[in-house]
Amino acid sequence: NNNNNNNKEEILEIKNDGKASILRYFIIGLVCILSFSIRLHSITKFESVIHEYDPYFMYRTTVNTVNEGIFGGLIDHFDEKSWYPFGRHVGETTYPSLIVTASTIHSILKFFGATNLRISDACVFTAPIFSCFTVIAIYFLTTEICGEPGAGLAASVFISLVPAYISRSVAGSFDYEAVAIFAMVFVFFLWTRAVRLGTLTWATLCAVSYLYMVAAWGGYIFVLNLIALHTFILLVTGSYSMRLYTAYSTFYCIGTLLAMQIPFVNFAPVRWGDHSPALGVFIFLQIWATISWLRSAIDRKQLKILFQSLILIIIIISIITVVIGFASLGTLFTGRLYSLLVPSAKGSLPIIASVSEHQPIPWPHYFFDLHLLLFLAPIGLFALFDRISDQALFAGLYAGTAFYFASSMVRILLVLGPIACILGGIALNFLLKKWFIAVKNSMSKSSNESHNHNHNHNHNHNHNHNHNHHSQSHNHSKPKLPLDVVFLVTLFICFMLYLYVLHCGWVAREAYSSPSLVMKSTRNDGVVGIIDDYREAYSWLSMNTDPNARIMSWWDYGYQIAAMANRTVIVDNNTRNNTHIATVGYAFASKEPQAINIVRKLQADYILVVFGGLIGYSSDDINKFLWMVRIGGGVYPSIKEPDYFNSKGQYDISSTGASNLLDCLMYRLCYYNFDKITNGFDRVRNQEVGRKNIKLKYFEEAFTSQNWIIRIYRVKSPPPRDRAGKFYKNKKLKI
Amino acid sequence: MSELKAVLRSLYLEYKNQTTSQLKLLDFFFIFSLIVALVQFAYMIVFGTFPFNSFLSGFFTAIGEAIFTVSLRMQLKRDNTAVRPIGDFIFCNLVLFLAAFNFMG
Repeated sequence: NNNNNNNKEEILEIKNDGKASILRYFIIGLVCILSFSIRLHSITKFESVIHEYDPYFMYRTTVNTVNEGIFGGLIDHFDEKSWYPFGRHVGETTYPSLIVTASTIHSILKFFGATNLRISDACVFTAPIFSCFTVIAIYFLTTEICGEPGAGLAASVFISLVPAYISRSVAGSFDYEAVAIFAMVFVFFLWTRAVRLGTLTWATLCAVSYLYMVAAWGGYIFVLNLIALHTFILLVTGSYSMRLYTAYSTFYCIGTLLAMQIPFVNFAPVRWGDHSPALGVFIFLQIWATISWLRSAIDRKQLKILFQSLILIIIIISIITVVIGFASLGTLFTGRLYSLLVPSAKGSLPIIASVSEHQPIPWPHYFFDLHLLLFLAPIGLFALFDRISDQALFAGLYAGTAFYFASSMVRILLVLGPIACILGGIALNFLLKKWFIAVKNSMSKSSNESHNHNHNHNHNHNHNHNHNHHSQSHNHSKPKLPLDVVFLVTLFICFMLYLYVLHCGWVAREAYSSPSLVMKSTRNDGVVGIIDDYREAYSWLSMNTDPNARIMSWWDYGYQIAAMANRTVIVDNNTRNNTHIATVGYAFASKEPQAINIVRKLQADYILVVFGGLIGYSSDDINKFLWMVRIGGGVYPSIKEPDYFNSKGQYDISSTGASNLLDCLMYRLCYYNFDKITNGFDRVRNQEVGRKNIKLKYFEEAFTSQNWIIRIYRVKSPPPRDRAGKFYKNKKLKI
Repeated sequence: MSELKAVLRSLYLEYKNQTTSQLKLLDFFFIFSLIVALVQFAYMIVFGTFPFNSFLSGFFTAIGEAIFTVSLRMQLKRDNTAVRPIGDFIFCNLVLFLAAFNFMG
């Protein structure tokens, strides 16, 4: 135990040399500028606009928060413009960190004189600003883990560029992950520092930053359970110390108390469920600490007598505590978390399975998102074995668990990003240090002994160039490293890093910078056109419909309609009410006479559909239609998926398709009047339309955008009751 | 049984003679916090959990106090002239009570 402590004393001090630290801070500053600027591609390619679907809800809530304050706009706010007729309590169903942060940034900038700053600009730039903070946090976390500031610098450069993080933090991606990744890395940094130093202050600071993390993202469960797992493994492998006890107990007590302040989390930390491992580890730690203290304070024989007399009482007390202690033994894990741990369980929940981000990762995607780090990270893990410490164990556990979860859901690759960068930074530092020491030794006139020593170290390199020069035999005196070898290997290393930068820049520019609200298309003669149908349709809605009108659409577009068109929607991306979504799906999948009854029951005034057949936009409602059938069929058994396939079992919209599909509401609304243009050839399905001359009885076309992407229909009100006319008509027939 | 009594007596004497009054004070405070936590827990079992947030804030405060006291005692035992651990203790109590007061409702 003493030896262990001595080794840890070495690691406890992080190298801090004055002049070098100025250079370090300068480098970190440059890296921050780099990470900020690489995320601005979407603004230079399109404009400063908020991307995708979910960020629009955040944006709308931020506008409310700026106008009405945090309590009026967020925590006590009840949103009547979504999920008609239920509404949604925003404070209890949202994580507040992002919105509070964005409105604070807006207020601060306004205070310093930016009077014309739009709220959407503050929202768009939140993610790049926080990427700078993440760079700094990764630097500190890496130096905590391995004690070398050089590794920290390397890791910070990696995280500023890594595509896995860029994908969710470009300028305009205004979602939880923009601040949550920074919060997560910061909690981990404070945790490793608390474990290393063992004082109460660091543990409390860790708990306070954990509050920010809980308020930022649902992924705080991962943070909590990883810290609990780390503590548990440390206990089980015999690294118990007073520092660990202080760190985890303080973190758990203050952290849980703080976490319950967030209305969305409520009492979940003390209910049986995702948080129970943390509680279990807490109790285990107390017991271990008591036993460990007793063993050190009391003589062994006396201890034995004490235990034997009191063992019965101890057992009874612990059983009572565990059984009565915490109420409500509900389900052990919620649906989403269960499907994460056991990926095969995903099929039972169609609404989770339908989201493309929840699919398992294809193997090339790892390389696409991590590039060089995929190779460097295992080397970094190996390098940590040189200096095993509590913090290094944490890095290993983080890497293992993140990799496991990332394999089951694409979205979690974002969580793997930081640890891959940390391990990559450690690897780069490890390799370069040994290499440059070897170079230095070969440059100077040192003895053969040090040559042999260095040559043995070089065995760890995976550079094939060296293998011929270094063999196991110590017999003949080794020559110095030839100058061309030095040159080639250094060039190789620089080339690998250059490829990484090139790849990340390309990915940021081409793959992750599209707002998906606005699109670009290039004609055959090279003219670039902007497809802005979404905003055209939403502004039509906001200017030409009654302010109290209700829009029915598939849930993907709910947030955007509520934010940009400012109209009430029936279902939106929160997917909180599966039956309501299934009812909308049922309406879209039924034939027109049945559908109009459902639409009238939902009290919708307008229906909005997305149709890409004219220009070849493939993520439209006809392609999503089968998911509508599946989700609707989950609640209304009369909708069966095989009914919508043709006799050969294909999804066919041409005249050989199933009559259920060709007569359903979605089909008719999408292809209404389509045969009058290009003879009805659908460019996405590459087929000619099966129904021509569609006549709508209960709907009338209100708006179709320029490229026919958004089509809006007005629901015709039922004809006035004409009892007298019907009576006389019947009388006439009788006569 | 008599063995147990002898062991307990020797432990008690050893404790009384060998710990400083500063550490004894902290030990008493630690036992006091545990008793407070136990009383709250027993109250919850007997009278039910309403209002749950008040119970939780009180309970966690008591447990937290116990933990801080243990940690302070260990640090002071190693070096009883140190002032830094006391400062940490005060800071942590501040944060804990702030959180508890906000949560009590």
